[in-house]
Amino acid sequence: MSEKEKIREELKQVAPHLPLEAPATPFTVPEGYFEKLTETLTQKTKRSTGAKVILFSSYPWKQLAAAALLTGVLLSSLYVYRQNITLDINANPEDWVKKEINSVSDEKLNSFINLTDHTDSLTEASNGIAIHRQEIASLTKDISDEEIQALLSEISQHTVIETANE
Amino acid sequence: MSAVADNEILRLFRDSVTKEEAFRLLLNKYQERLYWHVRRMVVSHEDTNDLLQNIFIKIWKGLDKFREDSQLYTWLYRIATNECLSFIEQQKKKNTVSLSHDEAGYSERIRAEEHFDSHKLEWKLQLAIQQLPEKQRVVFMLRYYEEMPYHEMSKVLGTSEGALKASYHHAANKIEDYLLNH
Repeated sequence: MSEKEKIREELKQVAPHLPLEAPATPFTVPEGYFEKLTETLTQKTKRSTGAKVILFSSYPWKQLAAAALLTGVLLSSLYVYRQNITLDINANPEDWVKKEINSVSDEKLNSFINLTDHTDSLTEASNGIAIHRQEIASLTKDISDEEIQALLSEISQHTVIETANE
Repeated sequence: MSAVADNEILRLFRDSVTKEEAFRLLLNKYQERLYWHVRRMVVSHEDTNDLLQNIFIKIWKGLDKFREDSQLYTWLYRIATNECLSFIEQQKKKNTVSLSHDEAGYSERIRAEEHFDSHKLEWKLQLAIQQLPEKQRVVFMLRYYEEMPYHEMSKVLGTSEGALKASYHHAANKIEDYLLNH
């Protein structure tokens, strides 16, 4: 039994007053509609077949991201380029020093500076001792050796007594 | 000119050189059938035209992914039916705000059609169909007008054959009642 026959049999059982053959749909269609529809749809699909073009203007955030990325790439390239320039010490000593300093780590620079400070303080200390000796010599030039010896022995006696009292 | 077999259309569509030709063959074979399926659902020619264009654009975009688990025409009807049901659902949502169209609204559209004649069976049948809930309407139309077997209809609507059979019988009864009483 074909599907059509099955449907008719079923309909006879369920709704016997319904026409067994479906009557034509009474709505009308504009003349030439289906021919035009074929053309319209063919054109529409042809347009969608072409290379997919994504308009950047539709996505402003993408424009910004692209601009930021490009700027980043350019700046990085410039930095790397400047870093790799070889300088002649005789032709441009100042830039050579700057570049050499830039290539030394901060830690190394700090330790160098600390070392320099330490040397200065030693120099100052030794200078201070020299000045002190000169002053003492000028103050004691009129005092005889015997008087100095007597003074020193008196100081040592006082020190012994004070220590005993403590 | 005899219609080209579906598997031939699919074969041509998968070749980029013959893709457009295949689509044209598909249009020639199915556009009228799908037009009437949609038109019976939404009544207005303008709405049908808009929906049909969307349906065929979807078919064009999705046909590459069609895996032939079902027949091509079943797949086409599924797209068309889903598009119609979505449209009707949208209309309903709009109507809850504007209180304009409902089932009675579709009947009014039928009465406003050119050449409408309330005494003629074909017009009365259209009015009777519009009294049905939309899913029952689809079931009735697929069986009565498209003569679709239940197992194919099941693939279109994603509903069991038993449920579809029950739905069709209910629909046929209601339509018969309408025709006898109007």
